[in-house]
Amino acid sequence: MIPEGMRDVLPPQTVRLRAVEDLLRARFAAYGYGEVRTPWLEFAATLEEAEDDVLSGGYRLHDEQGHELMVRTDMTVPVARMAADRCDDVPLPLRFSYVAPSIRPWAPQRGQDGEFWQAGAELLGLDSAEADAECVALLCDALTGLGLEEFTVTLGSAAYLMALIDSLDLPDDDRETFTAAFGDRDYPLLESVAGNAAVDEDALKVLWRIIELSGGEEMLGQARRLARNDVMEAALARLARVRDLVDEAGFGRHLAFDFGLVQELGYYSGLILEAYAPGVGLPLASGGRYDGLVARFEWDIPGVGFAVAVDRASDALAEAGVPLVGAPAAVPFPGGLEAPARAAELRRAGIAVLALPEGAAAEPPLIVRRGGAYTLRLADGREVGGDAAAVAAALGA
Amino acid sequence: MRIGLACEVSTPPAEVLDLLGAAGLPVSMLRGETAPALFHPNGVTWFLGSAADVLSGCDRGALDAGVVGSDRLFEGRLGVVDLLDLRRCRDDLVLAVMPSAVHADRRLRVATRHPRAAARHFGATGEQPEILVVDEPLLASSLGMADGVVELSARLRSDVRGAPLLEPRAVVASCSAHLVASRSARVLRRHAFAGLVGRLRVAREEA
Repeated sequence: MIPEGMRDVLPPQTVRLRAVEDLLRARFAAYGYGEVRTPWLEFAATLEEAEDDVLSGGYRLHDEQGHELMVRTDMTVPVARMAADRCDDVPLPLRFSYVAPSIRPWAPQRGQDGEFWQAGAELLGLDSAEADAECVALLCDALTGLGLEEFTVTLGSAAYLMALIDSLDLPDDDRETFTAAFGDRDYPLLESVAGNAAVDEDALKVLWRIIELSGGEEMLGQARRLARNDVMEAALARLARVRDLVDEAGFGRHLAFDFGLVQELGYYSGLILEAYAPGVGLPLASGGRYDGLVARFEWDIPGVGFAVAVDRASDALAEAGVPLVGAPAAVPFPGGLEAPARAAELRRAGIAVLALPEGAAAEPPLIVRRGGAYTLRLADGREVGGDAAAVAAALGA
Repeated sequence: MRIGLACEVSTPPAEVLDLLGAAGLPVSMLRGETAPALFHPNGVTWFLGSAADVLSGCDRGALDAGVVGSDRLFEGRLGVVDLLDLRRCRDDLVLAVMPSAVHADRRLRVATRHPRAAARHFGATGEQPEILVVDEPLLASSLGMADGVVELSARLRSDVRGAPLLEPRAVVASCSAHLVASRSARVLRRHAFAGLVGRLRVAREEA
């Protein structure tokens, strides 16, 4: 028995997941993002800095000194904390990546496993469209590097939405409720708050139209026509610049725009993004700009990043029929358990060997020893004989 | 396109089928059919089932779109996107009570399938009743578990055997059928959705 929401992962699924992780690591490294590891446990107050119920709702425990700790619920906040703690004398920008699990209480209604692995990249210290574009291009490059041909990265802007909400002139309490309802896509509550606060009818109509803006780059033009202030105009200009730069990087065909896009996590301040692929209903990746998050750890630098959900990426590849090449399966070698020197010789020749007891039954391909020589018995009945190097050559090892 | 129609264990509402048909969707074989069922006419997959299953199907990307009552959306929409009020199957979610069961010196007990909508209503009015979540609020009242219900007014008028006579006291929310979409399908099949929403909008206004 294991706690609800948790799971064991057995071969060959581990091979697939490891292959996804390694391919993503390679793309992150190709853009200069150094891999970091942060501890499983953070002070609860660290994760509470994000002021988000999901991130603050993790499993808590206490150390011997009575400090309240939390099992990490997210990687962006620990990376922000780490940067502020450890890197504030390092020249900016900082580029970090990670492949790591986080743990949250199981929430099947949100498609949220208790434990989930993410491969993410964070670019800290640059507040520009160019930095946003690098992250979007890296995400597209990483998904392409996995072998996915059909996927869409949809972009929105938290800055545009917040400026729109500001333009409604809601009282502070109502603004907080309204923003939370927006994040939950709770439109009846939005209507109710707006009605109680006597929000201007025209402003509300603009809001409903903006929420519906989802599609290709023509959405940028429509969003521009609906902009109600300079902040909204500036957010759109920046998004258009991101679009141009990502297009220059060769990934323009993967972009879409959604001005009703709101992330669950409340720390986003500018660009927001989600990636989708056919056959997987939930986002493969999500992220955005979170200026202000690192400042909560007393180092005021901007940041932008994303995380790929490793399981969902693996599912998308399976849906698309993309093979994942992991470590080769070990070839059974009956008698290898009693003759470790022979098994070692084969391994030195580059063959993954599953040493079995003498006489053990095994399905071909398998290795049979005859005196000082080996015979590789293939699944189609053919046999290839010779020394370890000959067997390795026959296996393509 | 894969579309779910929420109709619990009944037939899909004719006025919704009329609207979908006017928007060019092949609906003729759905008339008179009873949920749960699955059909595949002319390249469209139709799922007839409960609102909960339609929302789950959209959330996980197994369905591209769905038609559900907005009363169900009040209770949590998972990850689906509310695309269009179809303005069909209009009804009110109402607070209705058994006058004989209400006592001034006892906390009101309300049975409902819509706890969030009920809580929001009572939050606004300042009342603090006990809210019981049940599948059949009308019978919960008959059993003496509750003094009233928050329920769709059409269900108050339905002939559920053994249901008490309830007196409507307040409208909690106005409801209608809504078109919802899977988040992924809305992004990946945006052109198909733009066309469908446009045709539905025109059909909705013309009818």
